[in-house]
Amino acid sequence: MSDLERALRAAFVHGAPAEPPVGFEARMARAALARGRPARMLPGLLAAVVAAAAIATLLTGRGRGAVPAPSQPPAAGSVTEVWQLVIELRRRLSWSVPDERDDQPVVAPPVPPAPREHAPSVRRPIDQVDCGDDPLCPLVAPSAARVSLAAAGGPARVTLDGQDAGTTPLDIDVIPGEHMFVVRWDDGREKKVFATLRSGDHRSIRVSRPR
Amino acid sequence: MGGVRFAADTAAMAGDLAEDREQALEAAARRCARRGFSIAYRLLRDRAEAEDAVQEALARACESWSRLRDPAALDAWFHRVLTNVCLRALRRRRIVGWWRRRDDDAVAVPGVSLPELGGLDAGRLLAAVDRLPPMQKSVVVLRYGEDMAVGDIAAALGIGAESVKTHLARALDRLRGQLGRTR
Repeated sequence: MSDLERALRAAFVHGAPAEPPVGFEARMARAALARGRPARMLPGLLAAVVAAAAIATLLTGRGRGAVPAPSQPPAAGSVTEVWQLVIELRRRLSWSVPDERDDQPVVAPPVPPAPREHAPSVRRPIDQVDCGDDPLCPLVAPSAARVSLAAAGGPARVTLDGQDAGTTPLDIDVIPGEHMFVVRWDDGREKKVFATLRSGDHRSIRVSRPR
Repeated sequence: MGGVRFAADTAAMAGDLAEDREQALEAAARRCARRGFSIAYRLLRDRAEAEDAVQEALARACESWSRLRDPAALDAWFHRVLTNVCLRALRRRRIVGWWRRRDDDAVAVPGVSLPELGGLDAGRLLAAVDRLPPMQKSVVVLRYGEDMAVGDIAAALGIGAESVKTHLARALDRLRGQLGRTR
C-alpha cells in the first residue's frame, strides 16, 4: 500500500462522523416511512380528487347545461383536463421510486410501429376510450406508468409525445401504451427513445449523448 | 358502482401494506442505517444531507423489498441504492456549482497531520478527495473510508470490478497531482 493510501485511511478515520445518538435507527425508519406514505395513499386520494374535479368542471365550467346522458362519455376537453390534473398531482405528490440499473442501455427501434386501432398496448387519448354504459369509465383512469429518465452528458430537455416534459433527471407519469421521448441537449444533439409501458410499470431509462 | 369498489379495495390493501412496510423499514434501519449514514456522510460531507440520503435509500430499498431474490442481500442492495442517491446528489452539486455546509463537523478535520504524507494536514487531504469527480470520490470513500473490498464496491456502484480499479487508479493519480506527491 502506498503512502497516499495509508494517509487516506488515516484521514478518513480522523474525519469520521460523530457517532449517531441512541434512537437514530428508529428516527430514520420513521422518516423513511413518512416519505413513502403519500404514495400509498395516492390511489384512493386520486379517485376522490378526480371525481371532485370532474364534478366541479361539469357544474361550473363548460359542462353546465350540457351534461351528457349516462351512456355517453363526458366532454372530451373536460376529461383530458382532469387527466392532466391527475398526472400533475401525482408528479407533485409522489416520491421517488427505486431504479433499476442506472446504466442499463436503452435500445430504441429505428421506426415507430404504426398505431393499431384495437391493440391494447397502443396509447389512445383518454377521451376516445370506449366506455359503454359505465358513466365513471373515463374518470377511473388506468394506473399510470412511471418513467425515470436520466441523460448522460449534462441536463437535457425532454419532450414526451411532442409535448415539453421538463429537464433531466426527471420522473414522469404516463398513461400505459407506447410513447416517444425526445431528449435534446444544449448543443442541439438529440436522441429519440420509444417505450411501451403497461399499467403500474416503473421504468428507468438512461440516455447517452450521441457523438 | 365501479368507483366505490375501487376506493374500498385500495384502502384495505393500503392498510396491510402499511403495516408490512413499517416493519420492513424498522428492520432495514436497524441493520443498515448507521453504516449507511457513515457512507453517506463521507460522500456528502454534510450531516443533514447524509440523513436525508439514508432516509431516501431506506424508503426506496423497502419499496423493492419483495423483488429481492435473496433477502439476505439487503445490505448490498441498500448500499447500492444509497450510493446511487449520494451520486445523484454529488452530480447535482457539480452542475449547480454549489457547495453547502451545515454543520461544523462537516468541515475538514483541523489540526491533524499525516506523517505518511510528510505532515500534510488531514483536512487538506479530505478536501482534495471532496474535489474528485463523483464516481472517483465514491470509490475512494468506499475503499479507504469504509474498507470495502473491490467486489463489494463494484456491487454498490453497479459497475464492474475492473472499472472500480480504473476509477481508483485515476483518483489516486489525481490526488497525487493535487498534493504534489509522487507516491
